[in-house]
Amino acid sequence: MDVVVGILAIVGGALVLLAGVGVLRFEDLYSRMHAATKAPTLGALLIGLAGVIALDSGRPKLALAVVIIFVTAPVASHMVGRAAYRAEGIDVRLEAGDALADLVDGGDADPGGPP
Amino acid sequence: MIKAFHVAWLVAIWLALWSDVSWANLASGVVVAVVVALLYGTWREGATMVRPVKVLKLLAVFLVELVEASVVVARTVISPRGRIRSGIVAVPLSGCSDAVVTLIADMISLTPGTLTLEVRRDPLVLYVHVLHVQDVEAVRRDIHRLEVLAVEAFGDADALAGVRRNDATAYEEAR
Amino acid sequence: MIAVAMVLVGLGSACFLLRAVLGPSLADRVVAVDGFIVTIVSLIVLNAARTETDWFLGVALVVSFVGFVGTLAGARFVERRGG
Repeated sequence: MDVVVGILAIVGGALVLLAGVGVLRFEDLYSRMHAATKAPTLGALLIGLAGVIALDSGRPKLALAVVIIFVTAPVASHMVGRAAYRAEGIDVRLEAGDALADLVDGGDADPGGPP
Repeated sequence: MIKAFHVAWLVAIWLALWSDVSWANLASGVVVAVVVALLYGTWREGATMVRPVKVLKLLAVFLVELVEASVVVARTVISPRGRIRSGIVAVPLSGCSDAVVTLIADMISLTPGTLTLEVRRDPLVLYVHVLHVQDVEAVRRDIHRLEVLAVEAFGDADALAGVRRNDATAYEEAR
Repeated sequence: MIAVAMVLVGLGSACFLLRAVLGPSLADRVVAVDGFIVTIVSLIVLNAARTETDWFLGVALVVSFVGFVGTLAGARFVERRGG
């Protein structure tokens, strides 16, 4: 059992580290968001799994914390992505086409309320 | 019906927070959950059903894609690569309830190479940022596959008919 | 073995912090801090698994909530005031 916990923990840790390196290496805000959303979420999931196996008490709180991260990470990245698109002073590199350009810059000045 | 699911989910969270499944906690949890569900019943009408087998299928596909997403990120980080061509792709979906659209958008954000940026209703279009854009139609097909899985698992009859009617070829692929 | 994992996560959190300091725009910093929050939660969980104690897990729960709300607040700020 210890081995399983250790392997899960190390793989999760490696994912988080890769996410960190990716966030440093990528040159564009949206690419960094890709790295910062997907990899730490899966890493936290694996680490949470390791913790649930290793601990005897406190499992519900642990599972809840991991589920919260899992559910909120995509929403947070969505909000930041929306905001970054509309804000001035942020450069994003979109070589392969931008389907949002007509909708957002064309008169839709109201960023809208919270979802 | 969906209110019942909300209340059950909130009660589960309440019990997890107290770390103690007792009758007192259950009763207080139900009270709190019902109050919260009544106050925040803002989701638009759109009945949601649950089909267990399809849910399991969705979960399996989703887990595989989630792992693949991290593998792709890891690979992109490790190997020095040239310029990545990214772009925003507009993906039209066939109508379904708010809950299912949220689920699809979340899944898109956690699958390899895609990130949901914007959701518009009327018409229902998702704007997705893609890390490597090789073929716009391939992106739309992948997302449509996810959409079919999600609607089959959770959508109501109208959404199911719409999804099946709108793109017969992609549906055949997904089977 | 868990200690090794903690070192890895610690290095990852240092990377996120570095991006939060460097990141040319505010949105970069918001994204980096959100990733940092996830690394904090991971470290708390790993430590709890290593020492077999669980009284710090409530902190992990609160941190994940607060981190989410903070990221949303940062996003709204970026939208109104620019990068």
